[in-house]
Amino acid sequence: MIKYIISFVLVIFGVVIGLGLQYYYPFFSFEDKIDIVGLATLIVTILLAIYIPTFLEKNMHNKRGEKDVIIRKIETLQGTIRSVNQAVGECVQKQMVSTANTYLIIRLFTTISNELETIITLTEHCCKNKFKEELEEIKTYRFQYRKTVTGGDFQKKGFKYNVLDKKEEEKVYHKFDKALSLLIFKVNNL
Amino acid sequence: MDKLIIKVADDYTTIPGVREEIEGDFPGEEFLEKILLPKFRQALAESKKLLIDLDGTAGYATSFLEAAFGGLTREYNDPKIVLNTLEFKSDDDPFLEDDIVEYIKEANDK
Repeated sequence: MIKYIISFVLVIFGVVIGLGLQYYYPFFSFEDKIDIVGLATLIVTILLAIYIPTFLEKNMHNKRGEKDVIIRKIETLQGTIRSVNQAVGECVQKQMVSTANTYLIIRLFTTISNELETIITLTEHCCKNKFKEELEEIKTYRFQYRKTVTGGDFQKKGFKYNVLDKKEEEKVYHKFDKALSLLIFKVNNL
Repeated sequence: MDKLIIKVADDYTTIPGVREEIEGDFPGEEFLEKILLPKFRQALAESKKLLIDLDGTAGYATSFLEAAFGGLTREYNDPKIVLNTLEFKSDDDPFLEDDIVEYIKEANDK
C-alpha cells in the first residue's frame, strides 16, 4: 500500500514541478506537440521503469536467501563425503582399518544421510519438484558409496582396503561429488 | 493392527557388527537367527506387522544389514513377504530404511 502512496505522491510532485517551472520560469519553452520518436522514447522509458523493478530485480533477488542456504548445505555434504574419502585413504595408507576409523566411517555415513535429507527437504520447500531427477541420482550415489565403503568384509577382523577397493571408492566418490557440484550450479541458476 | 517390535539397541546390541560370527562380535547372521527370524515367524503366524526400531545404535555396516535382512529374504525366497511384514523406524539415519529395502530386493540375486 505504501508503495502506491509513494508512487502517487511522486507523480503529483512531478506535475507540480512542471507547472511551477512553466509559471515561475517562463524562459523555459514547452512544445505542445510531440513527434513519433519522442513518443516512442517516452513509451519505452515508461515500460523500462515498470519492467526493471517489477520483474528483472525481483527475478534477480528471487529466493537468493533460500538458494544460499541450500548451496551451503550441499557444500557441507561435499565436506562430509570428502572426510569419508580421506578416512578410506588413511586406511589404505596404514594397511589397516582401526576400530576408531570403522566407527568414524559408519558415523560419517549417518551424517551424510541426515545432510542429504535436509537438502531434499529444503529444495522441496524452495523449488517443489524441480530437482527430483538430480536428487534421485544423488540418492543412488549415496547408496553406492555406502555399499562400496562399508560393504564386503568391512568390520571383519583384519579387514583392509586393497588398491582396487580404493580405486572403486574414488570412482564413486567423484561421481557423488560431481553430482553435488552440478546441483549447486542448478540451484544457483534458478 | 497390533505390531511386534524389535528394538535393535535394546534387544540385541548398540554396536552392530559384521556379517558372520567368525568375523567379529554382534554379526548380522546372529541377529537374524536369534532375534529377527523368530519374531518374523511369530508376526506371520499372528498376521501382525513387525516393526524394526533401528535407532540408538552406533550405526550399521552394509554387511550387517545385508546378512540380517537379505538373509531373511533368502530364507523365505520372496522379497514381497518380507516387505509386507516389516516396518522400520530410523530417525538417526533417514536413508537406512531405503538401504534395507534395496538389500531385501537384491537378496535373491546373490
